[in-house]
Amino acid sequence: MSLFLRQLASNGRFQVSFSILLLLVLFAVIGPMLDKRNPLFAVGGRYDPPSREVWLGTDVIGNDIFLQLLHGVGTSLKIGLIAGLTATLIGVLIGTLAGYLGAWIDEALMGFTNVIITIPTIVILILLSVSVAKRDLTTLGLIIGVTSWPWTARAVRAQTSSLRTREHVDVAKISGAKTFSIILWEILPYMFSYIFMAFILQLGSAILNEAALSLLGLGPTNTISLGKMLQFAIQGEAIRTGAYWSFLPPTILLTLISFSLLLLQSSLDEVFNPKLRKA
Amino acid sequence: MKLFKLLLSLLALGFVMGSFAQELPRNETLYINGMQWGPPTSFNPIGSGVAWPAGQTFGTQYLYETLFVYNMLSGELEPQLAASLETPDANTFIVTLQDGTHWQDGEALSSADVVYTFEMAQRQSVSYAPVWDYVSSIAASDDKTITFSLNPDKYNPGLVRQYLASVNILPMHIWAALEESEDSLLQFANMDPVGSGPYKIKEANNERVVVELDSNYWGQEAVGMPVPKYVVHPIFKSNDAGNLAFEQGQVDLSQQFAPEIWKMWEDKGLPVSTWYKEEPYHVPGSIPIMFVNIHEAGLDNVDVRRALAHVINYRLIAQTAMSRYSVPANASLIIPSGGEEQYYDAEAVAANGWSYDPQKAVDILEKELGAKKGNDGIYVLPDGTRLGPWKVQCPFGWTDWNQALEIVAANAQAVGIDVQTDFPEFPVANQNMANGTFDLALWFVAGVGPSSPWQRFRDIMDNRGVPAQGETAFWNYNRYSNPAVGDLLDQAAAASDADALKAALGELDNIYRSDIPAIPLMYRPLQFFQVNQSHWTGFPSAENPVAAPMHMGAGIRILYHIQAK
Amino acid sequence: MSTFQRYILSKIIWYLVAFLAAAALNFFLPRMIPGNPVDTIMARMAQGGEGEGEARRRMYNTYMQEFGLDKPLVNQFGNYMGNLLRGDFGTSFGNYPAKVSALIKSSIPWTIALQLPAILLGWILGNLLGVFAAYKGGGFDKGAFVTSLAFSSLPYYCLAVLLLYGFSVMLPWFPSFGGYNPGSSPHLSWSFVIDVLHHYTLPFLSLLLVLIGGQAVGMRSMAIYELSADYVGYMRNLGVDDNQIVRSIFRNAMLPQITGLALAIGSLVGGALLTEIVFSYPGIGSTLFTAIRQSDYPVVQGITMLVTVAVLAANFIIDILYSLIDPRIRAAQSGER
Repeated sequence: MSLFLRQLASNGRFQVSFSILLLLVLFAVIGPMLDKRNPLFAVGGRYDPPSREVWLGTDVIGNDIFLQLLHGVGTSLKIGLIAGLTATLIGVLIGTLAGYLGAWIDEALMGFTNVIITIPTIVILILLSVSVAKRDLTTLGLIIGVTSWPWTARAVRAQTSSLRTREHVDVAKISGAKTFSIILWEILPYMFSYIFMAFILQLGSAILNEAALSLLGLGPTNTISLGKMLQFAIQGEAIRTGAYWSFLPPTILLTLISFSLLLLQSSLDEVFNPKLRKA
Repeated sequence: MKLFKLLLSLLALGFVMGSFAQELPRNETLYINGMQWGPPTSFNPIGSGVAWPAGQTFGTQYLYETLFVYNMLSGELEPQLAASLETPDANTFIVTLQDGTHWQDGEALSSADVVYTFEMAQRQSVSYAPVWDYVSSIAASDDKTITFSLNPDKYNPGLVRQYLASVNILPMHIWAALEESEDSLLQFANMDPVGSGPYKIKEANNERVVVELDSNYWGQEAVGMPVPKYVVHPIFKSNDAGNLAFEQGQVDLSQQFAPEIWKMWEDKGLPVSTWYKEEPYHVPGSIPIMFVNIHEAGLDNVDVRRALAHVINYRLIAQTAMSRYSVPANASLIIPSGGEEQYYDAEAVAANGWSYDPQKAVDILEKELGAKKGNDGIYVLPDGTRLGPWKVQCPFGWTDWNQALEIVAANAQAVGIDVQTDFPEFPVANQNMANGTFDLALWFVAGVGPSSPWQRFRDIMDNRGVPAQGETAFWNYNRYSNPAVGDLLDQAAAASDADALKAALGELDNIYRSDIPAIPLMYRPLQFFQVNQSHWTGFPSAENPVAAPMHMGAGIRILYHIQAK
Repeated sequence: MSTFQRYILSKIIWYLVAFLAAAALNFFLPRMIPGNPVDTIMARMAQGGEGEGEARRRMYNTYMQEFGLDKPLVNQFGNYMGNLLRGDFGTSFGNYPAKVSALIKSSIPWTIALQLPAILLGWILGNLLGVFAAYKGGGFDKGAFVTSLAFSSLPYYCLAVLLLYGFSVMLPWFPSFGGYNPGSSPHLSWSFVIDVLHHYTLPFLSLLLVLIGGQAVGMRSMAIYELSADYVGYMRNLGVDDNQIVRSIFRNAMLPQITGLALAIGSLVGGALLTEIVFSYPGIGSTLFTAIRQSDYPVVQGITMLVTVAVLAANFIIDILYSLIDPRIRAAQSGER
């Protein structure tokens, strides 16, 4: 493991992406501690341009954009974490069961997964978000997680079914270990890096999914997120009226988060899969 | 390559399916927007989902006409199909049709068509069916004269006048046959409508509706002839798309909420204008009002409602969410300008009303109610009732309303009342309203019209005919009741002169202010009226008030006065 | 029956089952939206006119009967499946009395014309870029990789917003909304085609750039795996020219990428949604979104069903192609299980 860490630390992409992410997390954690004002409370008029007092100007109802960014990044990251963990958990569970048990269980689970995949995620996402009674941060995270596990499940299944035939698994089987403990001790540890990378991808796509939902007006209520900021700007006709300060910052931050997560994933991929490094 | 060919043929097919219309000459074509958002699927004025210009809200008088048209500036009914309205006694309306009225297919339009249209409401589920609660008979005495006998038990001449100005008269020679042949008249799409108005449908598809002037229009002398040969309503997918087209001169007359419109002439120098050159730019015509659930613990206390009324920053709402198109809302159900101004009592509003004053709210809560702030910063009443969490709702996508409620929630939170926004889809919001299952809800009530402000008081204060919570109500959504209201409303409805009406309305407004069942948040125009004079000029304005700034009723007169550039 | 035929047959059965399951999901999911569609219709009628208790109730019941919403859910499901097999998607609630099939027919050409070329071109260009980057390595690889990654991480709606602001508001080079000028109506003429292409450019670019980025990143890592394969070394030693080698790598690394293509076609509708909303572009995405907002079950079902069929068909074709191209899969399918 320490070898991996050393290799990671010397990887350029890792250094870049990790520092960006670290900065963003610090921004989201420390920012609101330093500035205790309510981000949903107006400080000015409709689309006041950036000034010395209000660094990034105000949005359509006079809220401070910079203050909203401080809080919005945190919300987006939290939703991403909840959704990413949920999706990974479900995906790993279904994937390992299908891959390890094989036979009709495999057919049934993968059949189910494939049916879910055929319905566009965004459609299920919209339907679920419209039907829940309360759209708070946790609910939204769960909804996004529940709709995005199939990819992880597929990938984990493929890995599991190749691991299943390994010697150490056979040994465990012969010595009478239970299915559950074989999966837990003989299969999962061998694809930990794989699952972790899948999680990073889920995290990134969950953050973007939150933004997409918010853009459709289905974002978390009574909180500010990057997606909601973007929605406010678009709905408030910021593009037509030229209030660039209201839509550029959330756009840039969303891109930055997504970019650094992908970069992180690719650097992990490189370290974990030496073949890639050689080239 | 094959895919590419398939694609091309698909595209071509799409074009072929659309009609091969020629480009319309710009100097004969007026472009308008903001009245039709989805594909036009029906021109049936009694059905649902009626497309422009056959609906009841926009573009009336283009295709189908009403007996009279309402003018929001004067508050009066003006002649359209009918030439005059006489009231020989309090219970009788005698309507006389104009000379030479005929349908677009040449058949004469007579009193029989009028009687037929109203009597259809006794057989079909149409929206104007309740007219029969207020009239006991409608009879034709000759080809041109119709007598409406008002029902003395439910005496409401104002509402009857409203129906005279809103029911589209239908041709009996066509609809009587349809009643026979169609399973359901409501489902009939009526894509080739025959009306009596100056325009016929020329083209209707997902991208636009085009109407063409009927050179044979009956009313050229009697009421006037529109100037544009064609009127096109492009169907925009979103508000800002429509506003951008308007800004670029592709649309001449707009009914969309276009924020910061003054920038178009002040900063960009465009030939754009609204009714007024200065704030509030538009003539106020309706009051979006926040209903309070007066049966909810906490909100059932009128002093809590009074405190809530004081925490809201009405000026901020008017300036930001309503883009300066409103003056700060007052503590009254009467609109303080335009046709209702005569009933507005500024002194009473100042004396017993409320305004944005968070300190006053704190005083009410702490001194009058003895409420204390909990650890979370939210007030708790002495009996242990926490002020919130209360959801304040309105339909998603109604941008100015959504923004106004964000301000309300933030204002309330800042003082210590836990209010949170909730923007469900329209059907959900609508159901919550009808059933009375909401905490706080921004909703619409009657705008200016032939029976306003009476109808607005009815919508907010009348509990007669309102079922219990959980069943569908069509007004008084929060089931407010006060025993004095019923009689006063009846007095106002039957008032024979303006002074009696003003007195009754004044008393109702006082009761409203002391009970606070709902809180007005802002004023909105009845309909937005914005013009870009790049291609057409001569539009009315406050300086040149030749027609009312509206897209229904008397608004048709706008088209009589404009000229191509 | 040969193993291949058996394989095809089992696939067909599997796809039929998947179709039925998806059809059931399509029926029940939209019904989770709270609110009664008839209320929408009623409310729209009430906005203009006036309507009171008794009259409203009568109208309400009329519509409930007409849509069969007064029947139990099971009966409604039976009706739905029956109509579906006859190819009847029903009547829209929100755009009453329009047929769902008519609504879909009028918007789907726009979506296909925007998305399909973007997906195909993005796929081809992205894969080529990926292979070249992997093969060339060095500075070119680094530059191409980071740029691709940046574009693929850029959410397509963010790119849409940026393009819209940059090239239609700041620099008014392109129109900002719609499929064509609102002043014209669809007809076959050069001026109209040019107008359409002018409107087409920005939405198309917003999709294309993101797609190229995503495909290039995926292809690059595939190609790097292939590069370390023995045959590349042999070819290099034999002095085979670069283009030839790249072609071989491309062919081998492409197989997994074909699955990606099928999936991209499946995500067409979802992808269309936000693009259409940002650019106010006509198409199936905004139709779907409006329908969801209005609890317009028949339209929601119609569109999701269509997408499901498209995705299943694309997957089926790819399954068959795959088994023809790659004998290893055929062997695995008939052998081990």
